[in-house]
Amino acid sequence: MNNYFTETVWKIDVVLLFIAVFLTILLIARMVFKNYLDNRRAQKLLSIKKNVYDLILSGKKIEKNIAFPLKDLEPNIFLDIATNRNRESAFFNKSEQEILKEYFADKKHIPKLEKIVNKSGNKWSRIEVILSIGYCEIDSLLPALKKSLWDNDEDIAYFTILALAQLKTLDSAKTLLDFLKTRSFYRSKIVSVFGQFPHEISGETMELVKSENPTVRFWGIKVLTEIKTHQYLHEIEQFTKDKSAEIRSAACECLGASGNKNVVPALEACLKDEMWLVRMSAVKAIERILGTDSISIIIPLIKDNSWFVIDSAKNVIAKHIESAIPPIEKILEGKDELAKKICIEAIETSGYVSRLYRDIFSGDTDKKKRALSILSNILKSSPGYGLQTALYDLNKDEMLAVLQAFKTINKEWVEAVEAKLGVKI
Amino acid sequence: MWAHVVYVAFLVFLGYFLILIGFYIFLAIFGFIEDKKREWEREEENYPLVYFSDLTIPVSIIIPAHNEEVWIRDSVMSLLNLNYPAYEVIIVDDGSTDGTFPILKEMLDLKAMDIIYTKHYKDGDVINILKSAKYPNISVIHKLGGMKKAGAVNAGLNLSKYDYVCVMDADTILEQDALIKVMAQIGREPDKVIGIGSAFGLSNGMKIKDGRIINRSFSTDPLIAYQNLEYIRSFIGNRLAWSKFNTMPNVAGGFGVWRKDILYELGGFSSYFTCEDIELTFRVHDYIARNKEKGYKILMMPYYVGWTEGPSNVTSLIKQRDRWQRVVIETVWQYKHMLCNPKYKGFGFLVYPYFILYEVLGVFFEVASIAFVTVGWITRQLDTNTFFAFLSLMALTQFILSLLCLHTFVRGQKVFKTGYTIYLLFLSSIEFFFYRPIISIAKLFGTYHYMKGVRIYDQYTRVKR
Repeated sequence: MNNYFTETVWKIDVVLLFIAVFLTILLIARMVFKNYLDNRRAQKLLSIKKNVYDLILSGKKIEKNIAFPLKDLEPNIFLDIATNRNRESAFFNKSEQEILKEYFADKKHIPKLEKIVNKSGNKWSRIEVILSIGYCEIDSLLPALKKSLWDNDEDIAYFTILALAQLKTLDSAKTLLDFLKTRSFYRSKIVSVFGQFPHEISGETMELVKSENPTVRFWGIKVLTEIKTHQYLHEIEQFTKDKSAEIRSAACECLGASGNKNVVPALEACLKDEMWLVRMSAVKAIERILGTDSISIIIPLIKDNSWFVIDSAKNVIAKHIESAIPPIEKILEGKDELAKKICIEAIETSGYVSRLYRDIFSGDTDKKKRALSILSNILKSSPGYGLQTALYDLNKDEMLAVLQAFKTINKEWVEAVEAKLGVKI
Repeated sequence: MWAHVVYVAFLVFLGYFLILIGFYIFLAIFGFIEDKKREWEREEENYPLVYFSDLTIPVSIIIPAHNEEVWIRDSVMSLLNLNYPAYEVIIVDDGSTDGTFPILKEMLDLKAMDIIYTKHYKDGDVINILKSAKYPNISVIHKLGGMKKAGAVNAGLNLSKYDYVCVMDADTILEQDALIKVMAQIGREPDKVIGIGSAFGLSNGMKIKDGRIINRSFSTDPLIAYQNLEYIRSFIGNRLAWSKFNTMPNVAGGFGVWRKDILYELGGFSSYFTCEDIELTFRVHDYIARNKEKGYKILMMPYYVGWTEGPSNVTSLIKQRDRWQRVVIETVWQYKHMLCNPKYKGFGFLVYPYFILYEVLGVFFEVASIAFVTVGWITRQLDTNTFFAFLSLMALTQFILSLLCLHTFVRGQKVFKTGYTIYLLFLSSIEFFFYRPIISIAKLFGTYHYMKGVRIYDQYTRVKR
């Protein structure tokens, strides 16, 4: 009988067993301790909540010497309170949060927070404080945030962006714009946070838009779009003639977001741009500004040579189908098969076919005549596209009446539908 | 001579288990670091900002469903409850012969839709495309079966309109914040993240009503509990670590988000393989390396985004794991050129060898080593002391792996109550003797069926609720 390395294997077993027992005890202790800490934290927050209630009920203005249960603030609790994170049991309403923010923004806490942001070796502790500064809107710590924004660690930079977005001041906007100018990552995120900023930052942003660098110009215009600026529209109009198609497209979006009718001529000019991307953005922007009135400008775009432009024009038509019906009727009577198809798709997408069916049975002779004319044209132009789906909304008698009316136009289609629906005229 | 063979074999098996322990420790350490990072990120992220931003990326959710009458209602309802600003749902009824389609028709008020449908991806025969009259963002594709789940997902891809697609199983109930958590991560670097997966657990034992979990009681049935443990090991203990090195080998089919341009480049999911998820992930890594693309990421998140039904009896479990083993071998064989190929960096030098050692050959090492020591002991080639020392080594290796994963899991998650976690702890200590043999049998079946050329997607029977 052999005993290969038995001693060695037993030794490994003993080590593994020791590790297993140690890990087991550690795991159980950890779970119990974690539960205890969570409960304790929740209790502390509840005590703060009670104090705040008492304070509000007493009608006193907050003073520096009010004794909250936590004299030495931990950043994570600080952040919990400011944002109500993960703590439904300790929910604070807006006015309570304001009181707390005022207390936590007390000058005596600021050096401590600044020290953590600038010097802490634990990056996530830094991040917690960075966010706390943002949520508590402690403007005086902006220099610390400016520094952390340029940190080599992408996580710290990312959460500083979020914190600066909470401050919503001109200075914090400038800091973000500077960052946007030179760093390539998180640009989309930065632009998204500008939705929360006041319009006053438009001036600063315009400086960015005037940059020689096309990427900076592009993102600058994106920021202006996000804040829906009403200023500098004339300057932005100039960018609809920029060398870069992306910038021309972004300028169209920006003008559309302004909602100002004065920019429509510039956008109309963009409908003739050589790049489909610009034409598509112009279609969307014009619709955003003029709404229903945009139909007469947009409807010719269904003959565009780019499917993307055609599709956006079709969507506009479908959205404002009532206004689009008169020009559509003309197109359906014409000879351009592709244009007819687009119009029919728009009618189908908008659900207008059901409305036409209802008009047939409305009792109004004019409505019935018009509905039948449009439906007949649809049936002639495209074999039944969208007509069958809407039949489901009718009762059996109405269904049969419609099919009867269609039989003279396209017998084959009617028979196919009869077979599918299981009805017979 | 025989003594010499036994000696060499003993050395090989011992070496195998020591290498395995090394891999486990490596994965546990880096999984722990990655989990900590992701958890911190989750805590600090501003989800309302993501929710209300115009720049939040819309997602097309694709659910392939084949005979899923038991789950489909809750699954769809869970999608309607999602906290996400812009998404469409495409359910693909893949030749169901049960009540799946009638249920969908009734609950969604489906109407036939005339639509231009372009077959960019191979999808099989589509019978009809329908749209919900109740919920404008839900469409249903009614198609014939025959191209497995891959064909159904491809049909969904053909209809999808957004740049990111989330592919999930029809028996998965999503958490309300599932999509926002995952998409917030993508939103940070949409130019880099091309695929992302996240953890999910088993819904067995939970009470679910209208797509909402009303009682999170986890099944104490050992078979289910062991599967929960396996999911933790796989998602938290294994894939998280690979994600840290951007070598994630599998974005699970139960829940995974892909950027559509990469799927377009690759021609979508492949129905040639038994399952589609792992093969696609390997193919993406292959594509990136071949085209020398830089900076792309495939990530794994530790967040529990949903709950799926697990097999509730041994036969179903074996059937499922047989299928999983087949697809692993199929994929490893298909991408054999990756092994230790410098072009594939960490994937070729770490993930691929790990897959061969643990996922493909692991079962043979385990079974052969047990057989070897047992036969050796019976034939008196090995003494009793050596026999038990070796068995203890195998059992303890298994136990420590679970313990390391549970540590990471408990630190980051509050999914299970303390009692249930201790129960899992207890089960993991005896896993080697009770659960592991079942999985080994399933893997052996899988290998055998692979050799026989079986490539079917054999779905186990859903339990009526």
